[in-house]
Amino acid sequence: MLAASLFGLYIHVPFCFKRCPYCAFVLIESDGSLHERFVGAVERQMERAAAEFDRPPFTSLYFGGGTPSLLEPAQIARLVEAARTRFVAQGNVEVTLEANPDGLGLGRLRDFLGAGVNRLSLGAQSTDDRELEFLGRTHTGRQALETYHAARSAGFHNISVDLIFGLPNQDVEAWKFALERWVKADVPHLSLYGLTVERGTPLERRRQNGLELPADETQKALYETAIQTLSRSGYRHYEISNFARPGFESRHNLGYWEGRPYLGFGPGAHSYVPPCRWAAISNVPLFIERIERGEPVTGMEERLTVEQRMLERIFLGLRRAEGVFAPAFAEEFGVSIEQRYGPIVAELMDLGLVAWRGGFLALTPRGKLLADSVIGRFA
Amino acid sequence: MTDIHKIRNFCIVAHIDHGKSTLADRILELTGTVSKRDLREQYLDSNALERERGITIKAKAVAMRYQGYELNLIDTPGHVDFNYEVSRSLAACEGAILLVDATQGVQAQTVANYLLALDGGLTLLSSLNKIDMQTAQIEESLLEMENSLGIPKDEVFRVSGKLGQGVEELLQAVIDKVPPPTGAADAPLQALVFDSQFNEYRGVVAYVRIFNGRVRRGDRIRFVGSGTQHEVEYVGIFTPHMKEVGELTAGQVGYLMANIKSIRDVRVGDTVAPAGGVSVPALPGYKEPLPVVFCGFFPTGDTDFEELKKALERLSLNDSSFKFQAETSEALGFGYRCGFLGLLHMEIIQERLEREEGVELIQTAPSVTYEIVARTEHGRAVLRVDNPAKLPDDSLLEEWREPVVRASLIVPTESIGAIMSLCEGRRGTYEKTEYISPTRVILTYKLPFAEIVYDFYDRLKSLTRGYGTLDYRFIGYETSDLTRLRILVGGQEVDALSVIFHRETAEQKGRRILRVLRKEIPRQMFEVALQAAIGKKVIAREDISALAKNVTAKCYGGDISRKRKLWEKQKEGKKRMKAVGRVEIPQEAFMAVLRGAEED
Repeated sequence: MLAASLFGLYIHVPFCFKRCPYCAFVLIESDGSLHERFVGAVERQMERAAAEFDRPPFTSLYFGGGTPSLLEPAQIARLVEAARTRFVAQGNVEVTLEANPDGLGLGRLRDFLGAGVNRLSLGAQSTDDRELEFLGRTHTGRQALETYHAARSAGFHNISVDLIFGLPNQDVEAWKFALERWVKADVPHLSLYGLTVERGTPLERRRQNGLELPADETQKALYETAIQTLSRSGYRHYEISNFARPGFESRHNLGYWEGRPYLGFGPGAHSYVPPCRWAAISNVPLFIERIERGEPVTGMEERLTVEQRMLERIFLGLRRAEGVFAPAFAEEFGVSIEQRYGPIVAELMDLGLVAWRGGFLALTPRGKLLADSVIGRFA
Repeated sequence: MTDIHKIRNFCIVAHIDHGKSTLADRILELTGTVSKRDLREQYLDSNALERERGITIKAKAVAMRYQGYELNLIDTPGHVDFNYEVSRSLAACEGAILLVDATQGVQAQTVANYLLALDGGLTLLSSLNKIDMQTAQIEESLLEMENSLGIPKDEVFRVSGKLGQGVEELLQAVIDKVPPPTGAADAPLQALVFDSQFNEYRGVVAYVRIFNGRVRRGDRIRFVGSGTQHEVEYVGIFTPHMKEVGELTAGQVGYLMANIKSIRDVRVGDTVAPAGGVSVPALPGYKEPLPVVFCGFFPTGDTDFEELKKALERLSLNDSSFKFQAETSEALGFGYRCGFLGLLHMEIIQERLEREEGVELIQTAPSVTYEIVARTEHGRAVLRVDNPAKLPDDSLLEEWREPVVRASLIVPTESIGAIMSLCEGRRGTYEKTEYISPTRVILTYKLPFAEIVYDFYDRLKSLTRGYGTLDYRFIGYETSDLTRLRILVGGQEVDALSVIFHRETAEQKGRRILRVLRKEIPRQMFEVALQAAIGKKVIAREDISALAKNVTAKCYGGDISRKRKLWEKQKEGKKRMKAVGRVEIPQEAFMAVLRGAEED
C-alpha cells in the first residue's frame, strides 16, 4: 500500500459549553441535547463515505472541535468503532481527542482511553489565570496542569498541549516561564499558536474598540523564545506551530502537511481526495437533519488545478521542518521545483528565507517568521 | 432650402454646474423638439461618464423648429481644459446665452467664456439662472455681472431652467436679438468643423456649420487643413436624433458623414471646401490641439502592452486631442507617454481606459512640457521634455524654461489672504486684484503651469470652502531655476518616480515625497531604503523596516483551501503593483509623488 493513499479521518464535534471570544470555528454552545443525534449522523455519514470510497485504509482518527471531550466516552467509543468497521485500520491507528481541562477527571479520562483514544490534545491555552480570563476560558491554570497530570495517571502517554501566545501585555519572561512549566511536566507535544484575530469574533470587535495586541516585533520575540526554549529541551520544531519529542509528532496532522487524502465528518469538516476538496455545511442542526433525511450535506466543493496543488504542496511542505522534497514534487507534477519556481526560489534564497538541504527546499529560521510572505511569492 | 434669415445659431456658455444642461432641456421641451416624457435629465450630455461627472465633454448641436424659425442650439464644454473646443463651438454661432447661477454668482469660467464670446463677436444674452432657489442672491449676482462684465442689470434675463420660468422670453430674445447668419448659398462650400465624433458603424461624424454654399450627398469635399478628400454619404441635422436631410445650406448647422475612418482626418476647427481646385479660404482660428499635461500609462495585472495599445487606439478614435506615444521605463517596462489638454482630460481618459476598455494601468505623476537648453554633440540645442525620466544627464543641462499661465481666481474676500499665500507658495507673481462685489474679488496671478497642474484646484476649493474658481491662459515659456529630483528604492533609481521641481523647494519636497512613499509602499520581507537625490547628491532618506513576523498559526485540514485562496487573492492584489528590483510598489505610489510634494 502506497503511503500516499493512506487516509486520515477527522470528526468535527461542533459543541462547546461556551464559545471563546477569539474562536471562529464551526460550533454551537451546547446543552447536550443534540449529541446523540450528532453521533448517529456521523455514523451514517461514515457509512456513506465508506461506500463511496470503497472502504479506504486509514492510519489516524482525529476528534476535533469544538470540544470533543463534551461527548460521553461511550459515544466516542461508538464513533471509533464505526471508523474501524467502515474503514480499514492500518496498523496501530492514532486516535486523538481534543479535550478541555474543565470537567475532565481521572475517571472520565480512563473511560476515554478505554473508548480507544490513545492521544490527547489538551486545550490548556495558558497557565496564567489572567490570560485565561482574557481568552474567555472557563478553566484555571492550575486545572490545566492538574488535568494533564491526571491524563498521565490515567495512562495517556501521547499528550499534546495547546498554548496561545501574543496576548496583551505578554512579555518574553512570562512566556518563557509558562513554556518551562510544561517542559518540566514532560509534555511530549506542544502546539503554539500566535493569537489571531479572526473576522466576526468578539475579539475583533474588542480590537476595533481599541484593544492593543503586541506589536509584530513582540510577536516575533515570543515566537523565537519558544523555538529556543523548546529546542534546548529536546523538542523538534517539526511544523511552524508544532513541537514534539522524537516519535510524538502528530501522525494525523502530518497527513495534512504531506498532502495525503483525508475524509472529514461532521458539520464544516473538510475532505480531500486529490484532486477534489469539499466541506460539509456548517449549520449544525441542518447538518444533522439532512443526514437523517438522507440528503447530501456538501457545502463547498472544489477541484484543484495542478497549479493549485503545486502551491499547496509548496506551502504545506515549507511549513514543515524538512521542507518540500524536490524529487517527490517532480514525480508528482512532472515538473521540478526549479523549472516551475526557479527565479522565485533564487530570490528567496538570496534573501536568506529559504535554503536547499539535501533534496529538500526548506524555510530558514527567518523564513519561518515570514512564512506567509514567503509562500505568497509562490502564488 | 432654409431661408437664412430664419436661422438663429446660438449656444449657452456658463461656468460648470451653472445649469446649462437643464436650461437646454427646457428649451428642447419648449420648442417641442423633445417631449417632456422622453426627456432624460440633461439630454445633451451623451455618455455615462460625462453624466456622472456632470460635465459635457463633446459639443453637440440640436436643430429646433420654433415659430417658423430654425434654431440651432450648440452645446459647449464647460471646462478650461476644453477651451479650444469651446472657441470652435462659439465660432459656429452668432449668439450666446451667458448663464450665471444666482446662487453662485460670477465665476472664473463665466468671465473666461464671456470674454471668448465677445472676442468671437457674438451677440450676448445675459441671464441669471436658478432664481427660484431659496439661496439665490439675485441682487448680488446682478451687481457682480455689472462690475466684472459690464452688463447692465436691466439687460439680464431672469430664468429658472428647472421650472422653465423666463425661458420663453429668453428664446424670443434669441430670435429677436441674435442676428441671422450671413453667407451665400450659391457660393462654393465653406463650412466649419466645430466638433466630430467617431461612430463604430458609420465612421466619423463631422459636426459642421455651413458658412457659404451647400453640401449634399454625393458631393466631393476636401478638408482644407488635413488635405484629405472624401465623398459625402450623408448630411443631416440632429432633432436631437440624427435625421438625414437633402442638403445643408449656408447658415445651417448639422452633420456630415463621408466614410471617414479616422477622426484625425476631421480636425476640429478645420474648413470643409469642395474637392478639387476651387480656392476657398480657410476659416480663421484653426489650431492643432496641443497637449499640455503628460503622464505615463503602463500595463499591469492581466493587461499587456498590446491590449493597452489597442485600448488607446480605440479611445483615440473618439478623441483626437489626446496623444500617445510608446515609451520604455526602466522601472515599469513598456508603456505609453500620453498627452492631454489638461488634468481633467487626463482623468477622463484614464477612467475611460479602465472602465470602458477594462485595462489595468499604472499611471505616473503628471508633468508639463519643459524647454531645456542642453549641450549636445552638435552644440547647444533646445529640447522639449514632457517626461522627467527622459531628461539628458544633469551635467548637460544649461537652462530650464517652463510654461507659465495667467490665472484668474475668483474668491470670496475673506479668502484673499489664504489664496495669496497659496499662490505665493506656488511661485506665483501677483498681478492685480479687482473687486466684482463687496464680497468677491478676481485675483490675477502669473503662475508656473507645473504648480497648478496637480492639486492647485483642490486646494483653492478647500481654502475657499468651495467658492473659489479658476481660469487660466498660457502666456509662454519663462526661464526658471529647476532641477530633477530622483527617487531610489532599494538603491535602484525608479525613473518613473522622477519629478522636476524648482531648486529652492526640491529638497524639502524630496523629504516629503519619501515620507508619503514610506506609507504607500508596504513592508517587505527585507528592509527597503528610500532615497531622494538631486544630481549625484542624496538629499533625503527613509527606511521601510522589514516585516518582523507574518505567519499563520494553524494550518490543518480545514485551513488549507482557505489559506490557498487567500494567497490567490493577494496575487490578484499584486497585479496592481510593480516590482522594482525586489520591491513591490503599489500603483498609488506613482501618483503619490506629487501629493507628497504638496503635503504639509
